[in-house]
Amino acid sequence: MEWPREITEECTRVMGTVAVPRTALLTLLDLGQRRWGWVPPAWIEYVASVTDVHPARVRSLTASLPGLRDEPVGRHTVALCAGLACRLMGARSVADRVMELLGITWDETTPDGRITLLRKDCQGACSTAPVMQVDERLYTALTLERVEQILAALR
Amino acid sequence: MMRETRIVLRDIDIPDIDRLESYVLHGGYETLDRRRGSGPPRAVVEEVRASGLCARHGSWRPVIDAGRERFQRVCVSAHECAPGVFRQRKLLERNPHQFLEGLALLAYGVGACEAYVSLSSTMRKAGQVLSRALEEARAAGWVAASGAGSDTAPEVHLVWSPAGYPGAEPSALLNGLEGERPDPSLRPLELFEEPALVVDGDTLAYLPHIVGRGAEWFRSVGTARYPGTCVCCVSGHVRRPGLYEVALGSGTLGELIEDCTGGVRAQHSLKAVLVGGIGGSILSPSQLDVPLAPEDWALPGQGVFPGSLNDGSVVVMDDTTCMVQTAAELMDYCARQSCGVCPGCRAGTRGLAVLFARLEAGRAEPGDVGRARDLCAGMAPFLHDDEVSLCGLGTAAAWLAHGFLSGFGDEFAAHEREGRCPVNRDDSIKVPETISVRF
Repeated sequence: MEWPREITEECTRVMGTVAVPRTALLTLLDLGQRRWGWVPPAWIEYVASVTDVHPARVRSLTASLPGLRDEPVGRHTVALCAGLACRLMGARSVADRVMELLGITWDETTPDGRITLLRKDCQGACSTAPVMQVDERLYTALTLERVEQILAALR
Repeated sequence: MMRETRIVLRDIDIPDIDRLESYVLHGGYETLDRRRGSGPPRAVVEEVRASGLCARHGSWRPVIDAGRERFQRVCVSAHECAPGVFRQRKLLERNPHQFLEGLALLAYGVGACEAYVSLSSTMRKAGQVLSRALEEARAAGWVAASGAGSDTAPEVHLVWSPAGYPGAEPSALLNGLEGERPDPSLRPLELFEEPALVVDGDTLAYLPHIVGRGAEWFRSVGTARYPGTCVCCVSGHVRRPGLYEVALGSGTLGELIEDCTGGVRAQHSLKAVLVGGIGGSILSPSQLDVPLAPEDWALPGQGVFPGSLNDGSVVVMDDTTCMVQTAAELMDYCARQSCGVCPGCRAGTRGLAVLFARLEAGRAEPGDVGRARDLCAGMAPFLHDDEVSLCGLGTAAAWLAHGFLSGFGDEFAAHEREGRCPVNRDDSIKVPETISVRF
């Protein structure tokens, strides 16, 4: 499979920073997660080949580690924090509004493939709760108006 | 009146302290420069040992054990993914060079040519800031360029870990760095068959201050057994949440909440405080006079208070909080984070999550509260800190669930009996007055 150039360059850079290829395993899986919002099977094969770890092991890691996802997502991911502080500060209201606006619930993707709604474990911004992560960007101290603006801006 | 004593947070509000130029302008890297220029590396280790610096991430063990002082590699566990903890990422995002200077000092002291920094994938911004700071530090010679690590300047590698809670445990971290599953296991603390020193990122931030100003100065802050400060992450229903750095033993938990954070929001009363997150304790209002010093807690200091201070994070809950819902969410977190290696954790966290969820949803069966109690006792026999689980998640979950059941037993019983929640919940969005150390 042909990978975008920026991905292969980043991969080469990562491989250049580690003394042993296997050390880069988790970092490269995480790179895929960051780039696509999930880890596609072809990326698993690719990572297995460059790090010299058996693909079956890489697959089982991808399926089981909390920070990786092995199912496809929409063009954007909207992840609401499931942490304690966020719930105390009103994450339920945020979730209700997001579901109402998107017409989907947890782990679902809008019919147009635009947004997948996820729940993520504590995002570690508890003093600014409630928070929400859109793709790689974290939005803090949310209000319902702000949530509407953020979602409307996603194409 | 409890006041902050800032050591690692001292410079955190300087706008561009994340840039090398500004860090150096404020005295940064002076200590490293001086130490590398004169005196044996051993003096750094001696200074750190004499200071009594303990790991801030929960274990409160000495940073360098008595047995050994030369290591080939330093591995940093910069993992933060438990509810209520946000200190390490803030230190890295705002003041990455303080961390890098600490790392370089420690590596110099123990003779390590290489250092690995493992960042949990929940700390994206911290990773970006740290990468840039690392480039600056490399260019300035504070750390070595790629492939040029030596015992005066280590080569520093940044790696990401999506491993979640168990991934922070030293053996899990080393497994991950060797390309194995990042699960805890019984293994020597070695990387590529050579001795490795595993430390937490937030502990390293103290090193420039300790080595620069001396062990005696550090010992003048905090308690005799646990010198220094604790950066408390306060969140939840308080007026002014955020980071507060307080000297250990300088006050009680109640004073921290009242004096620093302004107490619970208006027209509400305090109901519970989760201290130390998953590995910590759930406290009721009658327990707030416990001092903020590890030795006063059963864990880690064998103190009289039956709980654990752990990392010192604080989540405050007011009277609109349902404790069954809170317990159910926390156990659900533990069940999802469990790596499944240790049987008690694997089955116990899942069982507790199911029981608490059933209670919360009003679908409890008679005897569910008793079942939950039995499960806690089974997971952590006699509720002692025995090695029930390798990374401590299983033990921590049992302790925490036990705390909920004993401290708020009436509420659990009411859920079981009536099949509904007796609490007047408030799911509206709350806006605090201000935040100490903003994101």
